[in-house]
Amino acid sequence: MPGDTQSSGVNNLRKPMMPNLAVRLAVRLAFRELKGGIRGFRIFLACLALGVMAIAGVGSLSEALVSGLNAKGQSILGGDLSITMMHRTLNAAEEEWLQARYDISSSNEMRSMVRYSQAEENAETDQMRHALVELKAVDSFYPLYGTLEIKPAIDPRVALGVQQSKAEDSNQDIKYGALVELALLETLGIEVGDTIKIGSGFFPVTGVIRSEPDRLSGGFSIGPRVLLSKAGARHSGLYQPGSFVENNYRLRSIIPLSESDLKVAKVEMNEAFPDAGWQIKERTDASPSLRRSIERMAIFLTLVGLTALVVGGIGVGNAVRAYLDHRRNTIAIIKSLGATGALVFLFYMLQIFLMALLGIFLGLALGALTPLLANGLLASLLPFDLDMRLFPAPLAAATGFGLLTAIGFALNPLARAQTIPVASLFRDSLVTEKKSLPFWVMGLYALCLLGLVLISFLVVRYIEITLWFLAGVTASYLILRFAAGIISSLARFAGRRRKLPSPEFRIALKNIHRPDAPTQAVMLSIGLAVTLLSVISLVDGNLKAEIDGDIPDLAPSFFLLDVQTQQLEGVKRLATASDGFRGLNTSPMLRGKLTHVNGVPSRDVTPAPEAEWVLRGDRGLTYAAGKPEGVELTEGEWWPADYIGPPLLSMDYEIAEGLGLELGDTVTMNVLGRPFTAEISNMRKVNWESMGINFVFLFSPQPLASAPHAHLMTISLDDVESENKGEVIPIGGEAALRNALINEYPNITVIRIKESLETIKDILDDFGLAVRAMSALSIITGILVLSGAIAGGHRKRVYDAVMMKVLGAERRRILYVYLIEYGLTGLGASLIAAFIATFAAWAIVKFVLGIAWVMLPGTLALTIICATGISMFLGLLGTWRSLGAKAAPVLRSD
Amino acid sequence: MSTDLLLEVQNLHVSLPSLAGDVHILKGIDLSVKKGEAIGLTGPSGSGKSTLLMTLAGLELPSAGSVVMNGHCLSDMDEDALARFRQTNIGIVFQSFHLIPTLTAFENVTLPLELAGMDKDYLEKAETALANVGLAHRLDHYPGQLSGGEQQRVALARAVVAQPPVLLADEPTGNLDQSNGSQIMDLIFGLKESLGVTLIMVTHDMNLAQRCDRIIPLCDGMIDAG
Repeated sequence: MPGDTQSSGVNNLRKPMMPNLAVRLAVRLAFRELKGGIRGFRIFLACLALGVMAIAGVGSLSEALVSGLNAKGQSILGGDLSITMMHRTLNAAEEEWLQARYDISSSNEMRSMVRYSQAEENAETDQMRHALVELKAVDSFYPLYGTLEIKPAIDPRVALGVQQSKAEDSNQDIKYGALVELALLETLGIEVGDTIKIGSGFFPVTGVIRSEPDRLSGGFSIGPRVLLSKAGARHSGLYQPGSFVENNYRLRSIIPLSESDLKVAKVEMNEAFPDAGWQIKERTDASPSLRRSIERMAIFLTLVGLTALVVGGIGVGNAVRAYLDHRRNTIAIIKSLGATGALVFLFYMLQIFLMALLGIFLGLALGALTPLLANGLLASLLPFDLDMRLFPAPLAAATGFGLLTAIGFALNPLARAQTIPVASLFRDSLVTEKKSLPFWVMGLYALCLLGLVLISFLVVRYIEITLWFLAGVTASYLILRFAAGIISSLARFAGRRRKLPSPEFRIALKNIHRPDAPTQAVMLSIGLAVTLLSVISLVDGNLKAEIDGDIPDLAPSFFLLDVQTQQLEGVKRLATASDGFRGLNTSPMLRGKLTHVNGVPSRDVTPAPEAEWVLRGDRGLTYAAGKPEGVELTEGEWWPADYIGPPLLSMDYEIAEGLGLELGDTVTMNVLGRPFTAEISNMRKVNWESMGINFVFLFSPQPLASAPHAHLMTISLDDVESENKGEVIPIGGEAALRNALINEYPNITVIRIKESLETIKDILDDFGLAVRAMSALSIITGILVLSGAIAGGHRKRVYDAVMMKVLGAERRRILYVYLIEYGLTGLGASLIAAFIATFAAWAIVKFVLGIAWVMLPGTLALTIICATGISMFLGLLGTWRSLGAKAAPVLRSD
Repeated sequence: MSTDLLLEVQNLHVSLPSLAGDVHILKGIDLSVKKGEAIGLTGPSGSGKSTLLMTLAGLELPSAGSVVMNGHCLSDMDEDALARFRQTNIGIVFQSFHLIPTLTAFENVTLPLELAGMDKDYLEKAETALANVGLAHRLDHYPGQLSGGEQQRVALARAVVAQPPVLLADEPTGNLDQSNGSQIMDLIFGLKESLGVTLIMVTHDMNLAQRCDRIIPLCDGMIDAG
């Protein structure tokens, strides 16, 4: 670090001070100066603490959730290990092998329709109420771990078993009991004791599920849970060849298994039955989908929190600048006594470092408490407790972010302070020489930035997301800073005009470009916060517009699952005879697991992030002889309609690209426990937004056509809706067709797309709420930064106000000056922020989400108005005191 | 109040709060000033000269007594009414100039006219006022770019540009060297004569005070009758 050769005294003429002596002196001076208290550092501490709290809080909460989830992994998974298979059950060899090592509990899960009518068994009427449910049939060993809590508190086996008394009373078939979630009772308007129809069987509701221990181990849920016994489920007649049934086996080890034992056990199972095509989960990762959701949410919120920290960094920089401005004379004096610029830098850097540590400590303390606060809020939603330990990793990351941000933003004022000449003791403080920053300061800047990138990458783990995010924030920062200069110059130019609408306007314009004006602070703090909030609002708005806009028009009215081959004609007849029929589409469907890519086991393949999901669990497969209507090939040729030969595959080109596959490559699928390998013959473009029947994997007919399978069907009708008590319900053709399908084909699951879209919108709303709550932190930090900047200029504001009063201005006119000043700057900041946000949101919508961009002027206008309002309000609030200042004391003190 | 009487101060008391209790600064001042008169307020530091001047400007509120200027009782007015009254009735020159640093010399001078709503010819008036104090060539300079003497001349132009009947000056040469100080005083008395304003000036300098029509010495918050 170079010294300041111009301004130092005698020391520079002799030997330079030994580094350790310089450090000791700097430490001693720093502590002595800080004895004066932390008054000048309040905004500094608040900005830093808030940002660090956000990052530490999100990280700690995420770790507490995942750790709590894993700690209760045994009951959440329902075993030490679990096996999931589609379409098929364990064969005898598999069962024998497993039974020698584990206690086994088996269950089947499927989606189905539940119906209720007061007329019960005579209920083949239009007045039936129905609901889509997640059906689960369990054996008598269920659950192996944890407790199934039901109300009334009776033995679940009794509740699910044959309901003797009722069967005798009604002179009908044997009835099995059903346990249901409260949501189903509310949807159907029924009570415990009423009888519901599932498939072709009737089931009295014998209790309400209060807690299902392994509920989280499943994936995305589209309806309330209904529990049946296995015998009951068979009684429903839902199990048809090729039905979309997931068979689960929970395994409890006869001898205790450690985490490493579990991995070994998993390997043994796969080695014993390499072609089983099963999916094995361990209790240490009981709900991978929930864990992934938590981790992704944490990544997203951490990035939002990092923006809050960057906004806070502006406050840090302002606070350091103001602090050093007050120490200007001290700096000049110690330099006149022989201190070098390097020593001055070290001396103040130490103070800033110590203050940063204090701010970071406050933030860490608050962040570490977040799981404790969240536990109370989440207790009713989660079947496990959050882990209340301290998690070092997120706290270390937050510390790193905090330190680098504080140092990064303090560097500029610190570097300028060390160049303060001794002559400034005799010179007006406003006269400052603008020098470019020394080379070593630029180097420190680069190191801070590099450190931020590194920590971000360690936290986010996706290099592309990290780089794009940091590039976005840096670009926004630089644009806003540049815009602050432009606005200041414009104000200077406009303020020079001799004729202006009012003197208040002139003073306001002059205030915008005065040397210590808060223009840059307003632009950066309000600008960055508004940019973040606008990007989130615009992306959220575009997603919803997509759901509200094109999707409902393009999407079919119904999705039908588990249509049996022999039912196809009947269902088609019903659909085509319906009012407003527009069309239908049908496709065979099986489930299978991708086991090998070009002969490489899928677990050893490293896919692109957008293709990862294809390797997880079972995927839907279909087959076709001729090229289906609307299929758009991007590469290769379709096989002949009468093709007979080794299996060929038509694949979604984007997924193939993500897996590194090309034409002629092979994939191996396991269907019904049998592997088969297909060669990629062509690539297709799949329009996922169409909500129609889309498959990543479309095979030539053999061997899939020979396997037992059901069909998917989509039906499009001109829909008419009516609103009843806030709920949109179909009427006309849609309603009639749905009732007819449910009555005539009880095994078919009928999903109304619009209802599913509403569910997705609800999820988006919940997600949006969490993100907005987090981004509100940026706004709060922005407000803090702005308050700090306004407070820093308070003395000058008071002077201005007094002089205006002396010259005859009433208080309202002084107020008007501030309104114009903060209104113009706030408006400038929000307009630039809106511009940046629109560009960023457009890029995300277009290139990341891949949906059509919709301009949302209302959202932008609202954000601009609110941000300008906040700026004006804060400006007024901060300068309110100056209005009441008495003239005489101010004039006397000068 | 007789028609040529511009200012009448009766039994004026001003107390200011301090940590040690209220400080009684002015203790019953009685004073009458005629139109066009030049008054020199003299006295040692702490005698209450500046406080009296601030009270006459409506910038300090009396604890008791009254100040009637041009027929208006200042003690009956609120802060905003006093501000409006100053627009056209009082010009003030301070020892520390008190120009607004973000405005140019020209803008500092136009400000009182604009605040008073004089939108006709105000640019010309401001230019004339600055020319009258010899600063026609410094219109677009900021206070920081002007010398102390020049700043005080801008302050003087600003004080008289709206042609108020009263000019209050608080040690106008206190921060200036002798040469600049005497130039300023010449300007002040020249403008007093040409514009016919009433001048009330606080000064330590007895030579300057001698140029006034009347000297009122203050001592310990009271007019020193001796």
